[in-house]
Amino acid sequence: MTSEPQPVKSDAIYVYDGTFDGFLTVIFDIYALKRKPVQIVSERLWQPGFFETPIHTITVAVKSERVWNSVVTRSNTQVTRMFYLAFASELTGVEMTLYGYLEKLFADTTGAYYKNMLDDHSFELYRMSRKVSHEIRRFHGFVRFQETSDGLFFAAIEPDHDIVSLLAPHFARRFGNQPWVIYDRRRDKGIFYKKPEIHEITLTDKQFDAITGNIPHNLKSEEEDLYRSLWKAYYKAINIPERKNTRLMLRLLPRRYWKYLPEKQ
Amino acid sequence: MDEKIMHKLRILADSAKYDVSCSSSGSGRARASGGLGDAAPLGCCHTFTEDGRCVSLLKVLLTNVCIYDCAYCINRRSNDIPRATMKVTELVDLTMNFYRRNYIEGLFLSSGVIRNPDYTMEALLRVAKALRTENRFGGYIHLKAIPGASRELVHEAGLYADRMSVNIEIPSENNLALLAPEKNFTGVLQPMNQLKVSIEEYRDARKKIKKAPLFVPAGQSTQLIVGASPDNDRQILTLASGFYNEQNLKRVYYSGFIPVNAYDQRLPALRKAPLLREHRLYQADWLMRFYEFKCDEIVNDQHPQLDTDIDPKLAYALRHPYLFPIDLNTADYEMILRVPGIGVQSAKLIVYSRRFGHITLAHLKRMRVALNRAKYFITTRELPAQLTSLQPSLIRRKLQLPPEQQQQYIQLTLF
Ligand code: SF4
Repeated sequence: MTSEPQPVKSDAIYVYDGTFDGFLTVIFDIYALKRKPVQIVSERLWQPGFFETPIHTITVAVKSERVWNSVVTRSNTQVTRMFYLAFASELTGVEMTLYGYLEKLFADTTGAYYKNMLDDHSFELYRMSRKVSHEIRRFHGFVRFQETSDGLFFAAIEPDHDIVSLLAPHFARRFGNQPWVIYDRRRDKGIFYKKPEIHEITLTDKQFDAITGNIPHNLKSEEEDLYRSLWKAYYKAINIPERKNTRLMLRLLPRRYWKYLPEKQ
Repeated sequence: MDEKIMHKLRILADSAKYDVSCSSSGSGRARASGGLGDAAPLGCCHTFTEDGRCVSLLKVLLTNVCIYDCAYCINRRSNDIPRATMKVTELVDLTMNFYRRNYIEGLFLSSGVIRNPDYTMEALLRVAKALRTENRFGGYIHLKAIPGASRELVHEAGLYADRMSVNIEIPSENNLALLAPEKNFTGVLQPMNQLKVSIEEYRDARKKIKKAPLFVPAGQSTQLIVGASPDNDRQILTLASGFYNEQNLKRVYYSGFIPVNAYDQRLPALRKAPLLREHRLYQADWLMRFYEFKCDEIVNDQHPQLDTDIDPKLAYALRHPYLFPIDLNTADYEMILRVPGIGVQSAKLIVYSRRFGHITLAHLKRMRVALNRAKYFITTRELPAQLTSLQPSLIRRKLQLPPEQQQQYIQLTLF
C-alpha cells in the first residue's frame, strides 16, 4: 500500500456489509479511488440522506487480504489482535478510528508508529479493544447452558460487542466433549460446536423462548430444571446480608446481563 | 430425593459462605483427554453475590457437623443449628452438572471436623479423587487441608487439588488459644509447611520431565479473621507477609468478623462487621504483592494500625513528603508505582510510552490515572510542583474518605 499516493478529497461516505472483510475492502477502495471518507458505515446502520451519494462497497476477498497483509507486516500480533477486537466492538465511529489509525500506520516511515501509545488513534484502538476483551472475559463466566433431551447444551447471550465467535476457543477447550451452541440473539448468529467441528450458524426455526431464551419444556433434559433450581438456591444461600453492597454488585454484574442468568430471574 | 439434596445444599453452602476465598486462578491445568474442563490460568467470575463477591466455585462444606467449638465459627458444636452431610456421589453430581452448564469453574470443598481429622481429610480426598479419576473432571478443585490429618492424606489430596488452603483464622498464637482452645499455630502450620515443600519438589520435577504429575499447581492460600481478636493491623500484615515470603502462599484472605455467636463473652461486641478495615487490609496486601512495598513501610512501630480515612498508599506518601513530587518522564517504575492515584497498568503504560514523547496531563487522564490524587505528587510541564506549596495535612483533608462514603464505600476499588 505504500507506493500509492495519498488520497486527496475528503468527502465520501462508504457503506459496506458490516463484515471485517467488507471494512478492509473499504480501506482498499479509499486508496484506489483516492477519495477520503467522512464516514464509513455498515448497511445495517446506514440512513440515506437527501444530498449524499454514498459509495457502496462490494466486499472482495483479494482486496481485504491485501490490506490485512500490510497491517500484519507493519505491526505485530498484539496490534493485529487489538485491531480485530476494536472492530468487533461495534462502537459508533469505530470504522473512522480504525481508518485514521491505518492512515498513520501506512504513512509511517519510522517503523515504530504502531508502538506509540501516546498517539490518539493508537490509544483509541487500545481503549476500544480493551472494552471488547473485558466483555469476552465476562462472558467466559456469564454464559449459561441449558441441556436438551438429546444432550446438546444451548446458551443464549446478548453481548454489547460482537464477540460470539471470539468466545468459541475458550468453550471448545473447556467443553470439548459435549456439543454446544452459543447464540447471540441480538445479532442473530451463533456458534455450534460438536467435536471436532465448529461452525457459525443462524437458526431458522427458533425453538427457544423469545423473551427468556429458555428452551421449551419438551426439549429440556430431565434434570435441567433440577440443576437450575439447585443453582438458584445455591446463589441465595451464599449471600451474606451483613455485607450487602448493591452498588458494587451492579457494577460487576450490570443489569443488562441478567436476562439469561437463572440466578437473577 | 430432589428435596433432600436441595435442603443439604442450602445448609452446606450457607455454612461455607464465610470462607471468603473465591479465586480460581493460577492453575492452567490442561484437560484430560476425553475429559471435561480445564482450569483457566486467569480465573473467572461466573456471577456476583448481592454484596459483590465473585462467585467462581461451588463452595460448600462436606458437612457442617464439627467436633470442635471455635468461638468465631457458626458451625461450632455448641450451636443449635440444622446440620447436614453430603454424600460423595451427591457432591460429584452437583459439581459435574453445575460445571457442564458453565455455572462454575469448579469445586471448593471444606468441612467441619467429623470424628477426627484423618476421617475428615479422607472424605474430602474421596470427592476429589472421584471427580478426577472416574469422571475425568479437569476443572478447578480447591480443598481444605484439615489440621491434624496425616501427612499421607494431605499429600494425596495435593495430587488431585489445584489449590489447597489451611485457614489460620486468628492472627496470633495467644488469641487463637483463647478462641479456639482445640487448635494451635503449630497444628495449622504443619500442613502448610508440608505442602510448601512438596509444591516446590513437584514443580522442579516438572521442569525436567514435562509429564511429571501436578501437585497443587495453583498454590496455597489462607484466611485471617479481622476483628474477632484484638490483634492489630501490624500483626496481621506481618503474618501475611511472612506467609508470602516464607510459605510462598498465593493469597491471604482477610475476613471482617461477622459476629455470628454474639453470646460468646470472649468475642468483642461488634455491631457491624469491620468492612472498612478489611478493605484497607486488602489494599495493603495489594501494595505488598503488586506495588513492591515492604510490610514495614506500610505498618510499623509508629503506625501499627492502618488509617481508615485514607488508603495505605496515600498514607505512605503523606508520611514521606520529601520523596515527592516526582517527574513521570524520568522517574523509575518503582517510584511511579508509589504515586497515589497511579495503578500498575498506568505505571507500565507511562514507562512504556514516555520514550515516544513527553507525557502530558491529557495522556495521564486517558491512561486512567486518578489525577485528583496524583496531581499532588507529580510534576509535568503543566503542573507546578505541588507538594512544596501544599501541606500533607491539607492534602489529607482533601483526599480522605468523606464520612458518608465510609458507610457504603465500594469494597473492591483499589486505588
Ligand atoms: S474446626 Fe472449623 S468448622 Fe469446626 S468449629 Fe472450628 S472453625 Fe468451625
